[in-house]
Amino acid sequence: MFGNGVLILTMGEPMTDARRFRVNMGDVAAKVIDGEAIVMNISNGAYYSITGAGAAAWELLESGQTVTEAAGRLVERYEAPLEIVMADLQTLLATLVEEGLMTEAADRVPESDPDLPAGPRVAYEATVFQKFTDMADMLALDPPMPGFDETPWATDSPAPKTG
Amino acid sequence: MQAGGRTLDSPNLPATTAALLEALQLLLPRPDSRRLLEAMLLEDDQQAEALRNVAADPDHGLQAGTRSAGAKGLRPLLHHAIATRGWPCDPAVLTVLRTARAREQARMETVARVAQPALQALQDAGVEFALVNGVALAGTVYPDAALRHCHDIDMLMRPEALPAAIAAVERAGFVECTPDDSRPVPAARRVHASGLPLELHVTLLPEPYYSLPVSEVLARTSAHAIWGRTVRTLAPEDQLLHILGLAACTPQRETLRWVCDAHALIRSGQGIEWEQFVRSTVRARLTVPVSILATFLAEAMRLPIPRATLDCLREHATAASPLARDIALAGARAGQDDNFALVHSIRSGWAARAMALWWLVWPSRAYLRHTAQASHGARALSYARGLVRRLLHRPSRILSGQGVAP
Repeated sequence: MFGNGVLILTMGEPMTDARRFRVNMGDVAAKVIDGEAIVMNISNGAYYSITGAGAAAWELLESGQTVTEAAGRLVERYEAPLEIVMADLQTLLATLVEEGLMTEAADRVPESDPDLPAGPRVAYEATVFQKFTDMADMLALDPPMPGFDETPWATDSPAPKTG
Repeated sequence: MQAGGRTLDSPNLPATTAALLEALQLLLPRPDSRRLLEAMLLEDDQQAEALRNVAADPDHGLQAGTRSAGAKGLRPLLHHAIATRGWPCDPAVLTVLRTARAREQARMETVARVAQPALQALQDAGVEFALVNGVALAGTVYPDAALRHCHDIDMLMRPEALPAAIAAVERAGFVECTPDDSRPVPAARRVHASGLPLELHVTLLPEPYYSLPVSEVLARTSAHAIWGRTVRTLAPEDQLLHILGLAACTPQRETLRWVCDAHALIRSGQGIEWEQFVRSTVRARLTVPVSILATFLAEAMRLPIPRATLDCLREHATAASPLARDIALAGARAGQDDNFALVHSIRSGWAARAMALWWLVWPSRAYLRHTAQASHGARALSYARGLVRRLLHRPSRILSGQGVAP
């Protein structure tokens, strides 16, 4: 459930999944801060909060790990059966794709492993995914937009408004 | 009457000076903004108390406190204060603050990428310049560059270097753009395809009265590594003068960034030469507003500005010319919706209010010459017209001293 509501992902069937994904770099910028993944869709001003195991899952998927590899890393980190972790991951991925935040990338070369917190396994925290749309003005504050990559969308536009 | 806790109504101050210093309190942050700044910038127990006060404020609160257009850029800094202190905070507010910080971090990475070709082109062309203002401060005095929102890249250079600088940045892909009416006019403004503006300045401050030879300022610059590139930035005392000078004469002070910038600079341990700071302030004829602003920083923000510096600035401010007074008052009015805010800000009595009103309507001849205004009569008539128009529209607000927006 989206809007200002909360989606708590639930169990599903474990399976092997060799798909890799990449962030939609033109429109999306993300950072993990204090264990919360903040994902911003600059093109429409929506932003997303991913907490629980989903924050670590975001980092793993963002780095190009396959779904199965990411689930394996999460099981090393959390006290939870693989099938639960895998099911949550699948549901999270479906949501990320539906929201236009990630796309499947078969040609993706994995980057270095993200540094998940070290130490003994901790209790599993279900992923909580929230979508917000109340900061569009702030996300559009000043150019350049995060993720700008020589895309000359502003070439023919009037002078930018600065604050 | 106080400036950040410091009593101004000393029996030694002439009435005119006391009235001027009180009118210029308009330069300082309003009480709700001040509470927010205290929550972000004070230390230890003082900060904890300030955070408690802001969080408990039903009208503002931690998130709402940064909702004003100007203060939005402060959200990353508020997040930094809360995270550093481990302050218990509503998760929803934390998400907003983290989003603001994440946005600024991602944006700053883009700024760095976009700025590199321009910096390279300027250095290749042998242009002597210093990075000033936002990017320079973000890169040298803030613990994390993303804590300081920058809306453009500002560079200071000698006037004779300007043509070569323009050619260099244009070679780097920056193109001419229409002026931004909301900001002081730089010598040249170019914009990158990403929308990031680059401003080339040949004077330290936009108000010509507040002048300091650029060659002297550039001679005091020092080299810093910003974005992996060695660039020159202003000496700390010149940085501080620039921060306070902009706050004194532009509406940018409404963003409250001047307080955060001064705080970050003074706390950065770069070592401000306070005697040089006073000399430059006197030379730039900025003692009237800077005296007010520096006293606020010392008293309200608990910054270690030497008492001798404050006393010296106050002494010079007391002896300021009518032109310095009128320009300081004009600076305080910059960005104010209410032309009479200066008068309304005075609480000590009708005599001081009348004095402020007189300065407003009947400034010195030197000021009229400085601003190329026709005459006292025309100015007085303009104010009288405005006052009558507002009285006709909203008499109750005028009479109650609340002022009106034009």
